[in-house]
Amino acid sequence: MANLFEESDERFLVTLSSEGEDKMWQVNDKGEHEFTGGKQDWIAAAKAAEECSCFQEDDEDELVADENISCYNCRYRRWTAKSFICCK
Amino acid sequence: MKILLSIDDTDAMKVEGVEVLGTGELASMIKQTVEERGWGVCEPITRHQLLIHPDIPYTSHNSSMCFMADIDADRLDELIAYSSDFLVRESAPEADPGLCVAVIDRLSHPGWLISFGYMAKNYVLTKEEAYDLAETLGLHLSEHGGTGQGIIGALAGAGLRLSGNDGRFKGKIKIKSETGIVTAGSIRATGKVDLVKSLEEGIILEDSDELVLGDTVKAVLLDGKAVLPVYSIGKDDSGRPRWQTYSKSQMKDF
Repeated sequence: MANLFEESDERFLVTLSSEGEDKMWQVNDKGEHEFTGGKQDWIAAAKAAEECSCFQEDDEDELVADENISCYNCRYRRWTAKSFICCK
Repeated sequence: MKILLSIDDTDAMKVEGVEVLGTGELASMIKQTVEERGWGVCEPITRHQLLIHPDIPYTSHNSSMCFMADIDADRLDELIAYSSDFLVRESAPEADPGLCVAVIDRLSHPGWLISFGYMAKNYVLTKEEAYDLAETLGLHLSEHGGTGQGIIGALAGAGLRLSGNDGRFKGKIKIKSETGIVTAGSIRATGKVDLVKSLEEGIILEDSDELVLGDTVKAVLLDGKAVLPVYSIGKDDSGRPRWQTYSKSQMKDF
């Protein structure tokens, strides 16, 4: 996934989501990569984390997804009002 | 005397190979010191979620950590000095740590502190507003690095803990069971839960009631008590209701 970020100049990054080809990430005004699934797309967040070599589980008190490996549980996610930013 | 000690904005985004202690860990270390040095007896730490907003600087989730303690009045100044030095020493260099220590019985308007806590969950607040309220209420509020923005969350955390109706307790409750089924009484016997309750039905489980343990067993702060929330999963063969502990995703709104 990190390679995708580096190699893509497109505003919307396209990768495989739980429901097939979909826009899982978008680049916000600050150039950050924001998850398009919001805070409730458990399947897509888990799939994204499984495909990511940078996933690291956050402190136990900050885990919110039932799937252990999920971007929602990653120490490199930063919550936003509607979703989260991947900081890797 | 009963106090609230709350901290916020002590950490930074974790970096591979560099140990960064979370705010919860730092709160645990302060709590441990209070008890080891015989300054007082502490209650468990609660985590309080604050507003996520583009105008609010935070590391990753904008939450504060707070605990209540019953301490020797002569140790109050020592505790504040120790905690202040500790935050300077242990917070991440990029952090903006804040410390709040409130003596509950000395608060002139406890309701105002609670209101500030709830406002911090819904509005963008300023350091000036936090310092003004701290002065009015007569509590300790101090910043220990960076922008010091953490005083807002620290003050809010104290208010939310005082409300008795916000946040989840730090850490998982460890309970052994070969079958994955335990009684509410055995959960309460850990000393970390006052009530086992179905929040949807408003039913407080009897000690003899059984529940299925999920992969995480955590308590939340409701009505001033440590409550283990459970939900209904039908009835057993004898028609008795069956319950299960909340999952992580169900807990996230606390």
